[in-house]
Amino acid sequence: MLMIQHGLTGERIPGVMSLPKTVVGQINALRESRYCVSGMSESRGTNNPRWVVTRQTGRMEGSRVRVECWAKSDMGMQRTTNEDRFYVDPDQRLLLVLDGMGGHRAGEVAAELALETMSSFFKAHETQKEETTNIFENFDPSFTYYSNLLRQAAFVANRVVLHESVTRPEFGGMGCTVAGMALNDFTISMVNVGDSRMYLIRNGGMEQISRDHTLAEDQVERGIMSRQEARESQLRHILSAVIGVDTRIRVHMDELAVLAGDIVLLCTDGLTAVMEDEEILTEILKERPGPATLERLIDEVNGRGGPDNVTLLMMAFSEEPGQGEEPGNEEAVT
Amino acid sequence: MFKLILKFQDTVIKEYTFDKTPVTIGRREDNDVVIDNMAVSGHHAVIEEEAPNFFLLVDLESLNGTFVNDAKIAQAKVFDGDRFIIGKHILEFEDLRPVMDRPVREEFLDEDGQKPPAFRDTVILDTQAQQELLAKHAAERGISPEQMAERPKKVELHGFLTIFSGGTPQIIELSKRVTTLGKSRESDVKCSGLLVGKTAALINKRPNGYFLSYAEGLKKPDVNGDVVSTQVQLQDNDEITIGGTRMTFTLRPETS
Repeated sequence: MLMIQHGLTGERIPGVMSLPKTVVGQINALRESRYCVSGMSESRGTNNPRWVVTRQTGRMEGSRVRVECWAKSDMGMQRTTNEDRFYVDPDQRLLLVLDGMGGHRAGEVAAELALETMSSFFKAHETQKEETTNIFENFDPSFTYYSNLLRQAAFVANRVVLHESVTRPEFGGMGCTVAGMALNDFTISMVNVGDSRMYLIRNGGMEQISRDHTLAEDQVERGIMSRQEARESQLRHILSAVIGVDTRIRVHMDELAVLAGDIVLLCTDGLTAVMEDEEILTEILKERPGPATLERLIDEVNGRGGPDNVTLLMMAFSEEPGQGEEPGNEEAVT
Repeated sequence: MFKLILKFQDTVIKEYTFDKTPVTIGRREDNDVVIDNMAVSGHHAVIEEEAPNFFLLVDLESLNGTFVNDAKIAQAKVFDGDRFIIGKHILEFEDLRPVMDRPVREEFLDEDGQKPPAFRDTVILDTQAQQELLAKHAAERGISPEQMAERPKKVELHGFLTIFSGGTPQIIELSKRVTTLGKSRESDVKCSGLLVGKTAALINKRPNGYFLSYAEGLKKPDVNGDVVSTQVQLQDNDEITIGGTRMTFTLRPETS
């Protein structure tokens, strides 16, 4: 029986989850179709090296905006393992940051399992086909196919991690957060579960574009606390949604029309627990965005004690050189 | 590893981080933490380690004494968040070791000698426990469930486009998070005209309103006669022109 620890009283509560048959069926199908493969060649953070940097340049599908991407993960100064993971696919169409939790390396297992599941599920259905429409539990037509696909990938990852958690005692109670983006045709699709965040830096300002699934944020939305109070509240440490703990999860989904000049940052709470939003923005705007930006942020966090693993994934969008000289359609000037 | 924050009357004077002991505190220059004040003895106190994992604050028979959380001590185990008084100065003690490696004050241990879960760790609760905790927290702040239900709902404004392209004007609701406008067959709003891009512009529904941005093509969108090269927030009754297609943007409160 899975037990969950009550965050305030320390009391152990029996887990309420029993897996419905259909869910198990879906997981088995997933296994058989080899979605959960390992050893993919894409760049990803692991716990072994202290950090990993990837730098890629690509064009956003269907657009003339250039995308550059860097990611870095750091164990921090006080942890002995890195339970964070990140994923950047070679075309930069899918980007994920995950923060695992659970004792005895179970957090790493949860984050890795969710990463493998989400990336392979997304990749398998990336090309929209007629028969893929039945993979969705509740397709939301006010969002693009890619946003719906990303959200469905989170749903599937939730079941895969939960299944592992309830069937293997050593992984009981494990879970992870995820912040993920997919890029397509001037649009960023994004989902998040938990307290890993996504920020948009545009015109010198910074805006959080993810939604924290913490009890503090819930109280802000219900008008019981101010956002300022929430920053200090103990409720901010209690997650109201997480991958791998309950059969039903909340997934925040949103879309953003991207502009040249935009910078997007995905990060785990190792950054945001230590640095204020304004401090992060100041650091990012110091120089042209690049791998050094991430190194500066991580140095700053570690300089302040580095209490947790930190993972950063940053994308910078710029205008493709030559833009404007080419006509945008076949009816070119003759 | 621990941190000491030296304060005088709520003003932070200096922060120290130490990864080894002993750490000496006093007025003389040869101390690790030098407090230049006559109320502080030359060698006032020292922080040492005690097995298995405690930090110990020892008073060096100072004239004015050493205090931990307002209690005078000769020597005392110290814990994360403790506050020392040395003369007229305050030293705040932060244990920088991982939460799991830190000792806990005896009175905080439960019957089995187990550590309670640390607040600073992220925890996960099941849905019922969450709801109970949220209700309890609201009650502590004097807000009852009845009051919660009475709170006025926010009025949401919905955006609409009225499209004039010959014939009867067509009205569409901007219900999608991102609406595409352009020549492409996949565009939500088809726009005709020379040099209009496949995706000429996008309208993004954001928490604070609707934003129109230019995407591609030589023909940029035009809002109230101004060419949009980046992005503009749409206002009620804005006139949008893309190539040969004219549109009016309107905002209406949510009604059926």
